Amino acid sequence: MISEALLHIITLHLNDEPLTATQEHALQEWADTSFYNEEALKLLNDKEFLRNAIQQREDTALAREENWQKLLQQIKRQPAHSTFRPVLLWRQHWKAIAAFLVLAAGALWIWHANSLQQQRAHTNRTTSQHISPGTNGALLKLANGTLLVLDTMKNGIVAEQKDVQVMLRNGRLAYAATGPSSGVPAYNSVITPKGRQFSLVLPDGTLVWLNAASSIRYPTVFTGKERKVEVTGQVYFEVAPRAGIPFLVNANNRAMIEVLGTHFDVNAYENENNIAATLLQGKVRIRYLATGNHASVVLTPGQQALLQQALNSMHLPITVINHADTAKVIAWKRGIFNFEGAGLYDMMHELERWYDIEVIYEGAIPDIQFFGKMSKSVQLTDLLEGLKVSDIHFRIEGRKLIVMP
Amino acid sequence: MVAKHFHIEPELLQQLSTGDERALRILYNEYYTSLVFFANSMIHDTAQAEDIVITAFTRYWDKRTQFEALAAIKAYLYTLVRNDCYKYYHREEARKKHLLAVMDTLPEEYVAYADSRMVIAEMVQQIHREIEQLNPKYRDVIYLLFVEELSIKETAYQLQISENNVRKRKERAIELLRSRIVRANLGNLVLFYLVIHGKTH
Repeated sequence: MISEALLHIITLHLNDEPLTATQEHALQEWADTSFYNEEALKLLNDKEFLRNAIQQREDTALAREENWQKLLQQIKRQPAHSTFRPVLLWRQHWKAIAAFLVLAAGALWIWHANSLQQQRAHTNRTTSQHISPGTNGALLKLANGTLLVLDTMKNGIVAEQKDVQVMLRNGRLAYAATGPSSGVPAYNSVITPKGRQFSLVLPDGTLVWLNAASSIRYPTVFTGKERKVEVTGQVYFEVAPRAGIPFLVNANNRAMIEVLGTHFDVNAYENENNIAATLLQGKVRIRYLATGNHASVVLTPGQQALLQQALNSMHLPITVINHADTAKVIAWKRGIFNFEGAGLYDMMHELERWYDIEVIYEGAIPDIQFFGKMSKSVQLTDLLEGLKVSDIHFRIEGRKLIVMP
Repeated sequence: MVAKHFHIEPELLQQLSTGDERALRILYNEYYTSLVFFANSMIHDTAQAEDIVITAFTRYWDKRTQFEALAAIKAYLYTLVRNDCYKYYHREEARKKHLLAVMDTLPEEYVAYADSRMVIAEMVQQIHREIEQLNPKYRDVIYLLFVEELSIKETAYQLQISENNVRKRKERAIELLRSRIVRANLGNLVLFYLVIHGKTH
């Protein structure tokens, strides 16, 4: 178990501070106790390990509030001083299912009792082939039209263009000016196909994360009175503030989002009904591209704006959700599928993009609601094993997932 | 934060044992991230790790009257998480091998491994906390330079300050952290992470 005194000694040791003989002895004894302790000391001395660890903690903290609410609900359900061991309700379901099978990632599925009864009968068969989850990677399209595959490239300079160098650092794309800008903007695009996600630093310092099947187009140097980028799919921004130079996001050529230094997510997949803009920090203004600022809405943190993608929808009001589930919106950035309350159709959209598959419905789309979260690193077959429990019938043909009635 | 303010410990323990949710909130904020980090290092599955940690808190809450020190609560939470990670891991292994048996006792090897990951989780927490406790002026520079790994130039861009200013703030931040070494005590540990970086950047 952890001893504060030991942590103190390790800290001193890693800082090259002098240790007393007793401290030296205690440290040595601890390191000798197991191979793993010795390894831990080495890891704590490793820059890269620590950087990843802090990053991981930052990401973990994003869901802290969401999980606090969950914990609160759970303990409120328990009578004070109960003699029963408290177990989360959704875990009990999970355990019941686990008796039969367990998803690789331990996802849990609760299904509609109704739909369960309606959809009886024939068992399904999947082929034994493996469809792997997505990974980090993207395509970079240079101003001259050249396409570069960024999946396998090592750290270093990726391309030299007019006025700028493009480089990869720890799997992230970044720009460096090589001389004064000649003033004529050149545009680059980063495109993630299905099964890839990627992050980059725009020339103004804005951090961008792209989910699968998404893209961003931007100038290699931002000049002029505004910073304008175009996106499709789902993109998360941490915009670098610039006094008097607004950051404009054109989503799907349909919505325009004006930003004043902020963290926000845009979900503008063409095959979804709505474009959703969710604000985590700062302030944004959003409107249909075709309308002026008079028809815009301003979001405050925690709010989500929904714009319909249907034709002529620009005359419809923009829906604003006040307490959006922000942790759910950006779960993808943390490597998690969050299917809380999602229908089968929505869930399949996400699977199509991450596993690079096509989902075909042979009959009506089953009316099933899912709850729970799972890692995005599971094999598709393991995920589908879990779906069998909710009595969905399907088969796989190549990269097609066919949902049978 | 809690561990650093020992004078509030009896009060907090009192509130916890009477079932005050605000006290639980303090405890949760203090331990949640480290416990998830620890669970994740054992099973490499964030969603499942979060699930295990929430369950650990609910079990602690059921036994909340039995604790007389925060350190004991922390140790209890870590133990619950460790054991659940083992159960999860073992269930997964059993599933792969089509076994149904679930072992009740933890192998020594597993316990030793878990112990070392707990130390890592706690050390990383201290580092992270030191960053968070810096004045935002310094913290943002440190975060972008060392965690997001932006260059000096990119950091300057992101924060809208001069590159020279970035360098000054970085040095000042490292200085602040070094000075903590001098007055280091059990509850106030030091950010070696930045010191290591300070030597190389």
